[in-house]
This record gives sequence, C-alpha cells and structure tokens, in this order.
Amino acid sequence: MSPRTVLAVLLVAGVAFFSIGRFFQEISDFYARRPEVDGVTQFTARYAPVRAMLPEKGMIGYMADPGAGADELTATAELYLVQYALAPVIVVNSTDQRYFVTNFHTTVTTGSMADQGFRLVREFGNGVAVFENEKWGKR
Amino acid sequence: MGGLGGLLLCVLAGFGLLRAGWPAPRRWSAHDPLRLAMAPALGLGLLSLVYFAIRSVGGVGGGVAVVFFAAVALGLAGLAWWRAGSAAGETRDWAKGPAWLWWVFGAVAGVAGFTMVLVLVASPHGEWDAWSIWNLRARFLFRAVEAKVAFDPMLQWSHPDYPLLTPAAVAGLWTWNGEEAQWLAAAVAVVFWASAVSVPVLLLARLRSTVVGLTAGLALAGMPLLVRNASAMYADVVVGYFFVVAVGLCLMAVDRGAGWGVAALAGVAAGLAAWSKNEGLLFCGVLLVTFFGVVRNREEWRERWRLAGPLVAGMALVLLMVGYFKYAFAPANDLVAVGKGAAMGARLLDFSRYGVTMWGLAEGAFRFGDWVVPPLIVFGVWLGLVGVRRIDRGSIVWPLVVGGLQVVGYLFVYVAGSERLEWQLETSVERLLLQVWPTAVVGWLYLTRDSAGTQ
Repeated sequence: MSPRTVLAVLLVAGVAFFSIGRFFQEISDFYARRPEVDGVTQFTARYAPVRAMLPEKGMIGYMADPGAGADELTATAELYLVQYALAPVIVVNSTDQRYFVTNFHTTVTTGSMADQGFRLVREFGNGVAVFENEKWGKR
Repeated sequence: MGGLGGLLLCVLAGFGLLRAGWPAPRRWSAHDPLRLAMAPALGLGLLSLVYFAIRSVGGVGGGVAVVFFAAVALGLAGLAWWRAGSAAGETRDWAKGPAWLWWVFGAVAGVAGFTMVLVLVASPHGEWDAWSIWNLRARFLFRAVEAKVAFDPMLQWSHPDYPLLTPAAVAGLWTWNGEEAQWLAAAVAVVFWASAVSVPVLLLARLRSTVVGLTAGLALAGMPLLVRNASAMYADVVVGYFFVVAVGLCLMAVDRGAGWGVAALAGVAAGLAAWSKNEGLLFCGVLLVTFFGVVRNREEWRERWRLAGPLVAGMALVLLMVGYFKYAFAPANDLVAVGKGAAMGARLLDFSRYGVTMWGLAEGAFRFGDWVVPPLIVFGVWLGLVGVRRIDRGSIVWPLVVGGLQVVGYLFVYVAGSERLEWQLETSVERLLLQVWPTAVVGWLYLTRDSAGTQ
C-alpha cells in the first residue's frame, strides 16, 4: 500500500469511526431514557381486546373525541395506529358505519353519544369503546 | 419450525439459488463467503415472492405458501448440488488485507450493529412509514383470509401500490413462527443492513483488493443514516441492497468472466429491487440501458450482448410477479395516477421546478449521511490522494453511471410527480440518496486507483 493510499484509508476510517461513535452516543442516551414500553406497542395494546372481538374481515368506523385539541399530525398518527392494531379489519375515519371504535382522551358520556344515535356495544377502558350507529342503513 | 427456522430456510434458498446460477465444487469455495453474504437477503426476496404468489390465489393460507417455499428452497439446493458436480474450481487471487484494517472495520461495524439493536429494542415497530406502510401490510397479509384485503382503496393513505418484498417476507416468517413476532421484522431489517455492508466488502475484495473492499465497508457501516434508516424498518436499505447486488453481479459477469448464470442472478436481483420499492422499476430500466450503452469498444459491446439474454430473463422472471401485483392488486401510484397526465406535463415544462429540485438534491448530497465530514468532501479527498485508474473498459465507470442516472431519474420524478415539491424534497431526498449510496461507494472505489491491489 502506498503512503497516499494509507492516508486515504485512514481518512475514511476516521470519519466513519467518529460518525458512528457520535451516533452511538446519541442513541445510547435515548435508550437510557426510553419509556419501558414503546409508544406504538403502548397505544395499540389498548385495541387488542377490540381486535379479539372483531371478525376476520370487514370495515369499522372510527371516532376520536371531538375537540380534544390534538394536532393534525397526532390525530392522523393515532388513526393509522388504530388501523395497525385492528388489521385486517379496515378502519374508516367516519362514524357512518354500522359499528365504530373510539379513541377518546377526554371523558365522553354514553348519554351524549346516545343523543347522537350511538349505542354503546362494549367499553374497554382508556377511551376505547365500540358503538353501534343506530341510524346506519336507515337513510 | 419457528421464525429462526424460516430465516435459516431463507439462507438455504438464497445460497442454493446463487450456487445454482453461479456453480462451484461441492466443497467450500473461494467465492462462497460472498455468496453467503448475499444469500439471506436474496432468500428473503424469494420467500416474499413465493408467499405472495401463493397467497394471491383467493383463500389459500400462509401455511401452504411456506410449505411451497420450503419445497422451492430444497429444489434450489438440489439444483445447486447437481450443478456443483461439473463446476470448475475457484481460485482465491486476492490478499487477506492488513489485520489493523480488519480490526478497524470490525470495530465500526460492531458499534453500528449494536446501535441498530438498541434502536430496534427501543422501537420494535419501527418509525412512521414502517408501521403505517410496511408492517401494516405484513399484518394484513398474515392476518387476512384473502390477501386482496390489504389493497383496499380505503387504505390509499398507506400506499397499497408499494411493492411487497418486505411485508410479504415478514408475513412469511410470521407464518413459519406460527404467530406475529416483532423480532422477526427486526431481524429482516438487520439482515438487509448487514448484507448491504458485507456484500460490497467481499465484492470489491474480489474485483479490486481487500483494502478497497474494507474501505467500502467502513463507508457503509460507519454511516449513521444507513443504521437509522434500516432500524426504522424502512425499505430504502432493502432496495439499495438489491441495486448494489445487481451491479456487483454484473461486474463479476463482465470483468471476472463469471458467466451467464451470474448475469441471470444480477437480473433477478434487479427484479427484486422492483419488488422492494417502485424506485426499483426505474433501476431496472437504468441498468439495462447503461449495461448495453456504457462500453468502450466493439468487443466489450459483444460481450455485453452475450450476457443480455440471461440478464433480461432473470429480471423478467421477477418483473412478471411485479406486473401481476400491479395489474391485479395495486391501485395506481399517487404520483402517476390516471388523470394526472396533464398536470405532470405542465410540471415538466415548469423550469423553475428543475432548479428547486436540483438545489434540493445538491443540498441533500452535501448534508448526506450524518457523517462528521460530508461524504462528498471525504471521497473528493480520496480521489485527490489516489487518483483515477486508467479507463480502458466501460465497466470501470459503469456503476457510477448507474447510480448517477438513477438520481437523474429521481429528479424527473420529483419535477413531474410531486405536488408539494419542497416538502417532498425535504422529507425524502436523503432516503433516495441512501438507496444509491452502496452502489455509489462501489462505483467510486471501482473507478479510483488501487495501489494495494493487483488488478
């Protein structure tokens, strides 16, 4: 190996070593402070009992709590995560289905839902419930 | 059999395919480390093709698909064994390389691999695109009675037109495992990352020298973006892996006379790139055009044409499956959907978009990789130190031409297809450049002089 080649190899090796070292430090800091359970697992675990009661195919509506103040990105992420949890049943972002699943962060009373024509089928806690849209198919 | 058994079967299938197309005697042979480095990811590609082909027949379960895959793997192993009977021996004509460089490479690759494991343990479902696209599709394929449910128009936001290599491979492994296990999706990510690092090392060791190969390994293993993207379970490392394997096998066929079978394997790898991401379709076109176009003389051109049939045949085998998926299952891609032709034409004539895109790509290239010094500077200095080798064959510049034209292709896709150009550039340029990075590294090191090697 010529001295120039040695120098060139050392340059790449040095840059690679320091770059990956810096990244490792960043990740190990993050790893040390990480939550016990990751966000996706934590969120989708709320829907595991819903998944167990659903059929192997079909569609289900979706309702997030109105005015919960979630930004658009978070709201979208949560809808997609509910789909991730409930696959292969397709989650439609609408209550215009016979059944729909909720993603509530604030308290919503069954009374206020009943006023909209939504009957509680089953509540799972943590803002997750399945409702039946009693008006569905009647229009 | 378990997920681990499924993974081992993928290694057998990949190694069998490689040995069937590129035969060697029945003992451990000189190119076997390279074959073994390519095998697991190639096997995952095969699993994914077989799994989806069987599952796409209405109502056929995953169990049938994986049993069929086991038969394919055993069949390939048998074919490889049979072809080994008449195979010529392989001689090792490259040096081991300096021990200190192996240690440095080992340290960098070890830190990178460990970092990847930490990220995967902390985020076992990957980042946004992983769970909203790739792992979601894997869940649909694994859980649904009929595979077509995964492509319902209601799921347009999850890009159901994206090819299925990663999701179908993960679903296939879950089927072996008997249940969903996120560690198998993580294992697929690790396999592709490790292969994208190790294949260029072993490839360049054969084509140039071990020093050049290990330098490529440092440039790949030492790149935080490669680790970040692979552990996010995105498919860019997957498609980038198949780009570099296709290019590498073509170089072995052309410059080392490895034969028509290797050209066919290169075609299969290019086809698997198209089965990984839509960008792979562009790559197949770029590969074919440049394979026949980048030559120095008539003799080289004749040699390329001799390999044309196997290359195209290998590619076509996989592209048939991609075509079947696109025709029978996938909705149109959101960038090129029907009815968008006029808008795309207007964008192509808007020259300001070229400026914005070129600036975005140039800026992305300069900031690329999360290195402490930008790669453009590092490899510019490398070029200054070692110089360019004598270009007496088109193949010496060909890998860089492939990488360059692929990026030009991306430029046109941005210009014509993107409705939110600046946002799209900001969020995707580094990933697109990453796809080309392994090929660019191989291409750059293939072009520059090598005082350590004999070739």
